[in-house]
Amino acid sequence: MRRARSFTRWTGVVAVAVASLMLTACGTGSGSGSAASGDSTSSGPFTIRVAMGSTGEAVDGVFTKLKAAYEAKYPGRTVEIVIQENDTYETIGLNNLLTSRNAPDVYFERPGTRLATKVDDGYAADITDAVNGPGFTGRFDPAAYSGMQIDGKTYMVPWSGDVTNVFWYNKAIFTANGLTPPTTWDEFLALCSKLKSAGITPLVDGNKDKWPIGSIASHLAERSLGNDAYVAAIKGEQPMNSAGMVAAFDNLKTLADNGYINKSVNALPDDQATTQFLLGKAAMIGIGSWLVSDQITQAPKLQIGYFNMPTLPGSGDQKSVLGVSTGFVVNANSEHVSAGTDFLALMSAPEATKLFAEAGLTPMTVDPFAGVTADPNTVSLTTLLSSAPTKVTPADNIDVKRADEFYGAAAAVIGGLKSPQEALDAAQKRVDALPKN
Amino acid sequence: MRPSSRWTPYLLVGPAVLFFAFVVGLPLLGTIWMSFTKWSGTNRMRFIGIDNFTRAIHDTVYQRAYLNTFVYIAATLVLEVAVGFALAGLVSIQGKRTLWYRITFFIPVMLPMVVIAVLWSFIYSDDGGLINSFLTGIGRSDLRRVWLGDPGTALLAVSVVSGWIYAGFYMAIFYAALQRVPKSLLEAARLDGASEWDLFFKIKAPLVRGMTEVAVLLCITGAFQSFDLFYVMTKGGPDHATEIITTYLVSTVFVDHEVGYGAALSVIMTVVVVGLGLLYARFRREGDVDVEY
Repeated sequence: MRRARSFTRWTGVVAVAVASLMLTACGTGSGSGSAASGDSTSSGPFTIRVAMGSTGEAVDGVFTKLKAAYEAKYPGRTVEIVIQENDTYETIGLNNLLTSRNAPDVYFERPGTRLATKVDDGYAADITDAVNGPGFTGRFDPAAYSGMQIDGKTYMVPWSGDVTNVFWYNKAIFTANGLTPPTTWDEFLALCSKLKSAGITPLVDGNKDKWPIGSIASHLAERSLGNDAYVAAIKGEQPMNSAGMVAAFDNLKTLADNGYINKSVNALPDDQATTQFLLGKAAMIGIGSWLVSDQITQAPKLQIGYFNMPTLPGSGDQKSVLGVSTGFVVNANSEHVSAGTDFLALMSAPEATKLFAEAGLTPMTVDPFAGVTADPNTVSLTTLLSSAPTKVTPADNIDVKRADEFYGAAAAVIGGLKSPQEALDAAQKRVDALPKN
Repeated sequence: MRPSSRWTPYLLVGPAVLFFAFVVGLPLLGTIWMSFTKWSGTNRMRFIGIDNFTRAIHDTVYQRAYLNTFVYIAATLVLEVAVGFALAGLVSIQGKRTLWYRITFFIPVMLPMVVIAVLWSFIYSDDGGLINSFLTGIGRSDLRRVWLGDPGTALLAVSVVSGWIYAGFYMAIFYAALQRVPKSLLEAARLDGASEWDLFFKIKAPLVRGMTEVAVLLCITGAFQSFDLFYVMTKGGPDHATEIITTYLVSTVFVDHEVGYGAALSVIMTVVVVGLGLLYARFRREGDVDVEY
């Protein structure tokens, strides 16, 4: 009897152990190192699969229209749109799709390291000739391809752009307190002080996922160090705990020490922080251009404005803008590469641009808002991004693992848990422990 | 009765063995193999020997995750098992109608974990959360905290939620065990003047010790499996204060795309869990006087 019970107990232990092992085993698949591409476009009816993470119902709906337009333009071809929940897509979804038997022919991706990885792994086709062809002529400014070209070859077609961080402010609160958008960091701190004295939370942010304050830290780092030094620090080519970086993080410490930012910053998700701002519980929020769509749906009567990161003492470009772009890649393993680029050409056409703009997206084509009554803030931000003398890339778009340490350090400082030096030393120690290659 | 063919036993167990091999054996071997490679999930696997294990040993966040997991186990042994046992004792007192209490205590077990995590996030919220509002209401604003944003309170806060959920589960287990205690024994003790307190600690508790050991084992192994509560409430933050092994493992594999390293972390975790199980069995006292189930 005892032996039987003991056996049952051990069966339980082993089952738990095995379950933990299976956690990682479920993602197995064989990677393809080759970029063998083919094109059987002329071999009769076929289907191309287009994969992406969801960017909202309105934008997802545009792809249904594009599918119909594409199938009408190219008889014999059908399009299957594969849309996954965004986080799922960006973490596990895309990789699983690419390693599956029925891999997508065209897929959403971000430029920079994520695209470079796909190129290295043989999942991105060289579409240089196609994007220089008639389907794309005049649709993009050459600068739009930033981060999408590797060794002179183009691997991505630009789709949308976002300013990742500006300071949004509640116009009513600013007016009531006689405030105007600051241009320097000192003015910004003085403004925060005045708001706090009036019993108003100056700045709210939700940093539970670490990227909101991480984005601000990225921008501060560029302003303090300059873009090259900032990128080098994130890539691990220079130390992350340099004096310049500490100086950048001192600005976060100032916000934390003076109570200019909500105490719950590290416990709050970004969407809840947005809600607090839209409810008027704080005068400002540091977040990206997508706030506009939240404001339109959640607080349409609220008057909001924005200002870019105020100027700081430092060797960076004080007019820089923090932003990201996105695009679509044609799978190098696809049998229908040219059919895939045909779809991307259709996506880049003026008609599609108009549909995307109406759906609230900021297309990266040369005429993103032609014939569309877009929100003035969105139009203004698009101009800000396109005219920026320096476009700064958030750290997590440069190197995910090192960015995680960088963002963790920023979170520790804004949460008042560590001094800038302590936080960055700890981050550097962790970065040093990462495998070199 | 002897089988008609020498192959009959093999044919009978064959399907089960094949199923086990497919869903457990192969993933197990695959994970062990992956733990010796560098692999992002999409690129070509590269054999790197024991580098992943060497890295794991020096990984301070991974070490912190173990520390947090053991603290969490200690907290849940009290908040889940001990509280569950106490609740079982209360609801099994003779003559009391406790059905509704039992149902009430068990309800959290049936709720989706993600829903519970989100609800408790609001309860712990700094701005308008139930706990901070209560503290303000009773004039103790000095005790207000950002419960999930303060490294000093975040792990305990999550443990309390875990206790709130699973105390009812352990109550149900212990309640079932306590119902098996011979009534004649209890009546004899009552006739000898034993109080309910005496009955619980001197008769019931010793007789259900076997079940207590099972509950402790379930609690420990369950803590190693915990994920959703932590992921939704804190994502391992602030500053890794609530990072547990599974949150770090998932982050490593699915965010950083370090599948090989994640496999190594998983293998180490498996060894630790099995090791703890062996230790537990070794230290388990012999000569139990269990109630027969």
